[in-house]
Formats: sequence, structure tokens, C-alpha cells
Amino acid sequence: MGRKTLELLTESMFYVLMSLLKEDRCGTEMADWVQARTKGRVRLGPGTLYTILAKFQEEALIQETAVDGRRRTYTLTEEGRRRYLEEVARLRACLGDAEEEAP
Amino acid sequence: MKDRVHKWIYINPLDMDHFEGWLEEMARKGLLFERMSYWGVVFRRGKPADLRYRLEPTGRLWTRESKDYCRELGWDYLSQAGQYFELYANPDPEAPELHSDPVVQSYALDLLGKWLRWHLVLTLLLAAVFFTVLTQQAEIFIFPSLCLLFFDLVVLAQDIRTYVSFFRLRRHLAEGTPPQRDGSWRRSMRWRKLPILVGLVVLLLELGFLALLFLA
Repeated sequence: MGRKTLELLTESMFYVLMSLLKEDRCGTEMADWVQARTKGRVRLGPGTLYTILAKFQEEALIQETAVDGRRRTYTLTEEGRRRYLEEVARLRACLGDAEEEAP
Repeated sequence: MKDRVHKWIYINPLDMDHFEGWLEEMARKGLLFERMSYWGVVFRRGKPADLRYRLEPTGRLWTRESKDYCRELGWDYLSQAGQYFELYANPDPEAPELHSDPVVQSYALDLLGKWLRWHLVLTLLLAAVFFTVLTQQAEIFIFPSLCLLFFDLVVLAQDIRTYVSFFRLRRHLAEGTPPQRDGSWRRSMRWRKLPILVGLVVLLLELGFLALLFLA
């Protein structure tokens, strides 16, 4: 039996989805955006970035919109946006629990 | 001193973290990976270096954009490593890992994992048929055939161990544990040496056996 995939988004996956919320981007633009957004805390290695893009395309969370020379541009699908918002809600609930339990 | 060194015994690239750890140890000794040969690995002598070597399943970083991004971060493609992998190296200790997320790396190994699972099943089936047929023949119980049978069993055990290492690594990655490239590759290397030592012992025993027959 194949394993269930993408039950949880890892931090890298979450930020890749976030990078596509407001505009379509190519892979390297996403990597630069994530690095800037997290102030260098999250850096996407090439293997990780392009595996995420392939996996997200396979799961229909993103889709390729244009190929311009070396650049391949991606956009978030409705399913991708839904998964992102679902993850935001989950993280918000975790944070809420943590704040309530804070000493 | 020759500027190329050929290591005949090497760790199978499927034993990924150990293969990478071994290459890194060689680089620290001034032996820099040059290429795989049919029988082993060819190194070039150079200055000892703290290089990171990483394997990626063949064909995953195929777009021109991904190749450019690898180069931008200092990850140079070196060569094909065995049947299933491409080898990359990076001299910059500050550069991000080729795979900065272990869980995502486990996804990158999914397709290869499926293929290897079938390969392992097929190998075990063939081995079962082979050994069943072989042990039903009366000649198998003479000394030289027994030696060869033992040698085949050692080689089979080594292959199974390599597959197990791959699946263990993939499971650890899926659990979020990054690969450990410590000195544990030495254990794998000892396993790689075992069939060669067994083969030599078998050869010596068989030569001794033939000599005894000749003298008798």
C-alpha cells in the first residue's frame, strides 16, 4: 500500500504555498521570497524546492502557467489555497493553545 | 605518485548516507571523486577539502531552471553514480543543503523506492528458485560446489543489506530525521569487503582441494 502523502505540510512546503498566495512565481523567485520572508531562517535547497514543486503539481495544489526560456512559472490552485488556509487554521489553533497554557 | 587512485571496493550508492560519508572522508584525505568506473570509484589527488557530496535520484533535477539554481548555490553536478543516482558536490559550508527538508527528500525517493521493492522481491524469488534447484543436485554436496554456494549466499546477504539500508534511510527521512554522515560508513565498507575475502578463501580452498586430488 502506498503511503498517504501531504497529510501535514512541512515548513518548507507551507512557505512555498505562501509564496504563491499573491502572485505567480518561478522556482528561484519562490526560494528568494521564502528566504527574505523568513529573514534567512528557511532556505530551500534545490532538491527540496523542485521536489516540492513536482509533488504539489502531482497533488494539484499548484499548476504551471508559463514556460519562458529557463523560467517555469506556477500559480496556486483552489485546492492549494484551501490546503494553505487549512494549515493556517491548524497552526493558529496550536498557537492559541500554547498562549493559553503559557505561564 | 599517481594523480589518480582507483578504489576497487566501494559502498553501493543505494546505501546513500554511507556512500556520501565515505566520499567526504576521502575528500578530507585529499582524494576527490572523479568518476565511477565499472568496478569501483576513481579519485583525483588534490588538497584535502571539506566537500559535501550528495546523491539525487537520476532525472529529478532535470529542468534548466533547477540546474541553474543548483549552480547558483554551489552544487555542481559531478557524474552519474551507479544506476539510480546523480552525484553533486559543494565546497561552500554556508550553502543550503541540496535537500534542506528531510521529509521532502523522502518524497524524492518514493519512485526509486517502489522500483527497488519490486527488484528486491524479484531477487529473492530468483534466489529461492536458484538455491532450490541447486541443492537438489547431488554434485552440490561436493566441497567446491559448497564453497561456491556459500559465496553466493554472502553476496545475496550483502545485496539485501544494501536494500535494507536504503529503506531504513527513507523511513528516517519521512520521520523528519536528517541523514547522519558520520563514520558509520566503515561498517558498510567492512560488509563490502566480506564477499571479496570469502571469495579469496573459497579460491584458496578450491586450489588446495584440486592440489590434493592431483597428489592423490
